[in-house]
Amino acid sequence: MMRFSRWAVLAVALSLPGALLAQSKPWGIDPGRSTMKDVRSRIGMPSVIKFNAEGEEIWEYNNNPNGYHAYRIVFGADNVVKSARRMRMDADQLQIKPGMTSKELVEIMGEPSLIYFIRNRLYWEWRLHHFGNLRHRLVVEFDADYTLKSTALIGAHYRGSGSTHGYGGLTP
Amino acid sequence: MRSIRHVLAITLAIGAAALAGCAARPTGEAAIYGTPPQGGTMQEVRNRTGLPNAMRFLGSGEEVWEFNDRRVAWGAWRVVYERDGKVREIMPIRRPEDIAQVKAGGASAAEVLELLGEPGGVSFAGQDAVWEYCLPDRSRLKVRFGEGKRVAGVDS
Repeated sequence: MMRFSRWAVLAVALSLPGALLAQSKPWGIDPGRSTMKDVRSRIGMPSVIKFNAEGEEIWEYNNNPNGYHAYRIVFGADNVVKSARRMRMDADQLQIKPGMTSKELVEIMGEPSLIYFIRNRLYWEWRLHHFGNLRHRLVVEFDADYTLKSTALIGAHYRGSGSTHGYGGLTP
Repeated sequence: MRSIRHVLAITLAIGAAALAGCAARPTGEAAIYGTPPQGGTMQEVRNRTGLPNAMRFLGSGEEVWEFNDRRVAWGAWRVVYERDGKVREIMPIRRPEDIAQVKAGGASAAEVLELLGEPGGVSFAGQDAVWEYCLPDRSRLKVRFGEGKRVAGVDS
């Protein structure tokens, strides 16, 4: 029994750096070294291509509408990866505040997984992991002036949530 | 006698259906670029046309939805909304006048994205990125970017 628990501790200890590495370097994309060509060949076509205010090219992989993983990769002028990070993380969710515009929300969370209207009110929804690896849906409601009114985080495993069998999308 | 009547009725029905088909054939921009997104508000566009393929924002903050269906579509459309959710403009993209502005040494990648929308494919010639588009006239366009992410070559 003692021997088994030692092995279990060792296995967890060995897998942790790998898991952390997967978060910080999705698909082995190494900021400062990997090029746009590397990203294209390892991950494929981005879901969205955009440019930020500094003119840097951004590739987003959002696996919408069913995916729970979303990544944003920013390239410098030399087509080398400047930063690569997972979006829709707990830290991103904490930045969401009432009164925000749709533009500000997209800058933080990326494009929503779903857009819909209920009783003439606009709702956006992102599929994401909360508290580590628990699948959730973040639903935001917009006011009549199209600014953020409220947010709700719903566990994806609630009956009737409609996303219990959702395809998780690409993972690093 | 009855069979002749039947044949006549069927012939007339087929003729009427063919005429109706001709009448329903899209004209104008819809014939070139495909069916445009429908609706006068964001809610109507969402309900009738569905989720956009890409979402952008103008410098002044207005929301823009792009319907392009990437690899399969030959036409692409852009819907610009007012801040209150009303549709300001529904316009086709990848028009001849848009494509004419994409010239070697001219537009930047950001400008090409604005003119032609999301590319259907991204490949590489050496380290140069090449964006590939399907055009409404069923041809394909390849835009190669060189130094400073400016257009270095256009192939169609």
